[in-house]
Amino acid sequence: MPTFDDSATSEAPVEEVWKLLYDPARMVEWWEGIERVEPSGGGDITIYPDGYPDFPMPQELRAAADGRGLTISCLVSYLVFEWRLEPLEAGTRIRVHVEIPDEEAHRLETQRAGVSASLRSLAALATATA
Amino acid sequence: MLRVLVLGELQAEVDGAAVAMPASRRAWALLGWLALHPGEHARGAVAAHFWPDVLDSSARASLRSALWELRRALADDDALTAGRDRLALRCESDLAEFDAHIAAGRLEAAVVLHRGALLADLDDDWVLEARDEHAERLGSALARLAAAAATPADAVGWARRRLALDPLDEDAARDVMRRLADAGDRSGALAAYDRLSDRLRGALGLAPSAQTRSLAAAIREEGAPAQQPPDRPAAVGPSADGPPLVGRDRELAELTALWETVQAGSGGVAVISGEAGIGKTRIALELVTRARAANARAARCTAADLGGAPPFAPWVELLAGLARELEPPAADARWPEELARLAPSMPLRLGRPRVEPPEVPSDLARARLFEAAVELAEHATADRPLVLLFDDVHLADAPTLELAAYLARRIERLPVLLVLTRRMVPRRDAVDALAHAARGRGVAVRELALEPLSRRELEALIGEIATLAAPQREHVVAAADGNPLLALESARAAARGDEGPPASLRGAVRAAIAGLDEPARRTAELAAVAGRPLDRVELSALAPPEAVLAAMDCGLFRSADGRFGFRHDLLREAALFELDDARRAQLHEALGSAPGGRAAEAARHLRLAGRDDLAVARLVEAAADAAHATALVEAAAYLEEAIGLRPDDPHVRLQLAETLAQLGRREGALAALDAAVRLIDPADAGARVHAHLRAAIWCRSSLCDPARAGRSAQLALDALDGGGTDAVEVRAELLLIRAWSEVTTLGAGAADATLAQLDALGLDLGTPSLRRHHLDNVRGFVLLAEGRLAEAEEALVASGEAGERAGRADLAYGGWANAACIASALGARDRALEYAQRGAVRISGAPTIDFHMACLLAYTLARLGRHHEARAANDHQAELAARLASPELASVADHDGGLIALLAGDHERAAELLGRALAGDPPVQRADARLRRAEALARLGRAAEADAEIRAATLEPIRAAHRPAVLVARMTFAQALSARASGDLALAERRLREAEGHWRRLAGDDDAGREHLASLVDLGRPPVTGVVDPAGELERVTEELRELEALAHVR
Repeated sequence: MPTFDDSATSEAPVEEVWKLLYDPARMVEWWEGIERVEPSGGGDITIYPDGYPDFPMPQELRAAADGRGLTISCLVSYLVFEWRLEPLEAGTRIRVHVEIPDEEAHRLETQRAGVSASLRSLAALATATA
Repeated sequence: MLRVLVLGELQAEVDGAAVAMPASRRAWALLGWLALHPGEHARGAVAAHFWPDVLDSSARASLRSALWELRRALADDDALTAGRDRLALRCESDLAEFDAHIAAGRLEAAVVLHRGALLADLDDDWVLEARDEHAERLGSALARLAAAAATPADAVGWARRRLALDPLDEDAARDVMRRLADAGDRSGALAAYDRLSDRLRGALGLAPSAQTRSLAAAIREEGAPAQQPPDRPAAVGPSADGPPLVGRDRELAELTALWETVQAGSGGVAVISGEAGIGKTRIALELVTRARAANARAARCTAADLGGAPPFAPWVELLAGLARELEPPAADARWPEELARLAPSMPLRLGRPRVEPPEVPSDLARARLFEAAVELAEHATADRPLVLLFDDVHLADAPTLELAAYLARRIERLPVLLVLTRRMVPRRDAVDALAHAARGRGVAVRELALEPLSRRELEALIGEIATLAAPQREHVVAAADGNPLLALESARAAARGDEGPPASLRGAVRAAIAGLDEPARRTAELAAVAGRPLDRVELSALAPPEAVLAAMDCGLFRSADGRFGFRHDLLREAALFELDDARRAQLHEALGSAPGGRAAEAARHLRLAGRDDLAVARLVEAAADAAHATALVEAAAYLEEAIGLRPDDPHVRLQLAETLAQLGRREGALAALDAAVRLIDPADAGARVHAHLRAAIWCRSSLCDPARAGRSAQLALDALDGGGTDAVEVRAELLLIRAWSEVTTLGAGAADATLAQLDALGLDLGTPSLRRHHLDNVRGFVLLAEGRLAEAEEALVASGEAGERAGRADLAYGGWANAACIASALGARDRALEYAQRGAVRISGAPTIDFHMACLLAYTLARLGRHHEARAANDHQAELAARLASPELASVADHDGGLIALLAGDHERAAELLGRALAGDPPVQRADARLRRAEALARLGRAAEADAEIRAATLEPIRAAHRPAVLVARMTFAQALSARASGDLALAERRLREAEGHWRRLAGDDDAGREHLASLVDLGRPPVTGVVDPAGELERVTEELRELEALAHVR
């Protein structure tokens, strides 16, 4: 199963990044390739990719195994994104770990690029709204 | 109609015609057992009870054939119902009639039914046990008749009938003596005493107890002291039965001062510490004797040095002793039945019918048990003070000390004195914790450390018991080194003329036992290996009376209160040390194989004898006893030990799985379950159904794991289908669990097919109440998942009512609390309060349930703005947490108190309580608690602290059920308040606008039902304080914005 990790640093304090990460309504502002997000009950969400307004992709939001991170699992493609925040003296380090099922292995490079862009976008947005 | 007569030889008749005994004696015994145990029984359990030593399949086959014989003998199709899984006997019985008469106070009518010993023609172990229990009840009824008799002569008659039930019963004999003395027949009373002495000595080699001897002395001297209440000792001089008490004036004065405090109405705890033989028990007994002489009740127990005593063993001894001294409580009191978990004969001794307490989760059962001990103390002190002596608590099991500590925390306003004696090794922190907690609750505590006696004191002590020449005395004093026991034993040995005083206690004991013949020596050795005094029933099974008498003559033993043992545990230890391994093993096997007795002890003896093959069954029995007494940790340990000896037994592993689940040890429970299932014969569909059904039940209740419960239910259903058989009741139960699992894990619509299958079974789903509760609960959850909140509320109310009818406070609480939460979510706060109040009034539970009900009430009142009442309810929470000595519940109470204070605008208190709660580890949403505290701090103007709390919230674990979107909204609001506190009004306004947007979006969500379900599964209980009110929150934001605008205007 292909996996990769990425990280970025935001100048914003951890709570500002945290609010963006945990607020599904604002996900569209930083996650590349998402056009719309809707809540789907029990804290989970459904996303609609850019250019596919009629293609719902339900996502399960769960705590990471130790409860100190956010795991977003796509219930269509079974991609798993685990986000973690680490407060720094000035700013926040954002880390993401991605797991891609073998059937979706061909999307590795696309996902790597997309996640990298999203990560940086999240960092920048947090800085801007702090 | 079948009528079975058990109060004598077993007889049966159908419509007046006698039933002939079938050829199989087992079938006849089964009839007796079923008549004694009305109601339905699991077939497997009955089979295991009657054929415990064979495989399950063989036991079931034997049961089938016994039932066939019985059915043929009865020739009454309606009497015996035997399905695949359950069986029951429908009959009238003289025992039921006896119970009804006793319950109605018709004592004469009850005792007239007595034709002889219960099931006199049967001699199985269970019969002996039931016979003893019935004899206790009959004896209690006769004692009450004697007490209420119109004339002294009638009283004598009833008392004599009671004594005839068991001529060795000293209580009964004392009653006869008192009644005769009351009737003016002193010589008759003393003759009764002489007969008792002869019987005890002849049958058991025991002397009458000190209590009986004192009564005889008083009758001899005073004539008729029997005006005292029955079973109270005659007044005796304030000196305990034992060696002289020397050199303890200061300690005795301290204890007497404490006792005076207790007599004045306040509770006290005395902890007496010191090395072995220093005189701890002696001074404690001195206090007990003085208290008794001052009209107090007293009872005593001793922890045993066996390494295998069952949990609560000292309490069992204590309760048995105390029950003899109590008047029957009011008919509606439930504590005797709860305490029957420890002392099964307790209700019977108090003249009450045997009623099993309802089956409830173990934690609730334990809470009720502990409360029952407090109620017992209240009852016992209604007319006089009470002294409870726990001897040698350094050897006590953990549950014994937990219950003692619980009682110690509750006696602040009760005239109860707890006396604990202990050696300092092995160290038992629980004893120090008990004293500390009692002191913290306002109970007077004295801790005494007994020091070695001075030379002068030792000489005085020796002089009390023997006249020794100066060199011998000098030698004894030097060898004793300040220890009174060593001094006494050495002096005794020297006085016996042993060749020179022994250099050690072991030498003294060796010399004393050496003179015994073989039967007496074996009796002495059995007493050493037993680890505790043996009662007369145990003793009569192990040794002939003449051997006991001969052993008594060596001076090492003491017989009192019907028990035979060493005068001191050090003497026993010394005797034990003298035995070689082979002899010890032989004695352990004799003790472990003796009939009756405590299963845990028997198992330990059998293991020490190297008879692991026999120990397994007793370990399983010990686990069942421990679980019944709510000691689950100990039950699990027995089962693990049994598995170590017999690893291929699936039933033991299954039992362990259930026990671990009840303890909340999820991983262990599931591993034990998997191992058990692997060991079950694949062809045995019945066993697989049974295993998966049990797992499904504990996954639903103890573990609150819907996914696993659903999987187990499905496996059981598959086994049911694969077995080609059907048990409709079992199927209904499994379908209910599967439906619950489907709706909680998958949401709306997922349980529809299962519920349709349930309907198709054609059962009356409204009964019994337990099934009705689960059905209404599932229906409520289905409606919640569909967003039909008003209908869900109705179903959940029905589930609460059904839980009440089933006698299950825990389930009833769930119904009422869920209904209240839904009403709150619907904005119907008055209705929420109504549910909370109904629950609080109707559910007579235990402190744990009361705690959660108080939480529900407090929060509901606070949301209605009734802050004063909310505070009172929260104070009650805190009181219950302190009573339970539960740091976790204390933190929950602080957390709830903090939220209530925040709603009341008391920010100082909110910040303090929430801070205290967060310092613990309560099962609450920690991030949410931090944000609420941040709000309180910001409103107090402490912006930096508020910011730190906000940041800390980001590092707390977040789960989906915590509703991250709600937390984001709360965080933004807290940031706004902090910004305002810092004077940054622009930032404050920006955050408030942000928060406004969040709450507005959440107010538009129509997802309250699903959120509630998610929280329910996450927390394992209704999210009482987690109910979110986005409209109300929005109002608060708007209010802040208005204030901010006004503030900006002013500036």
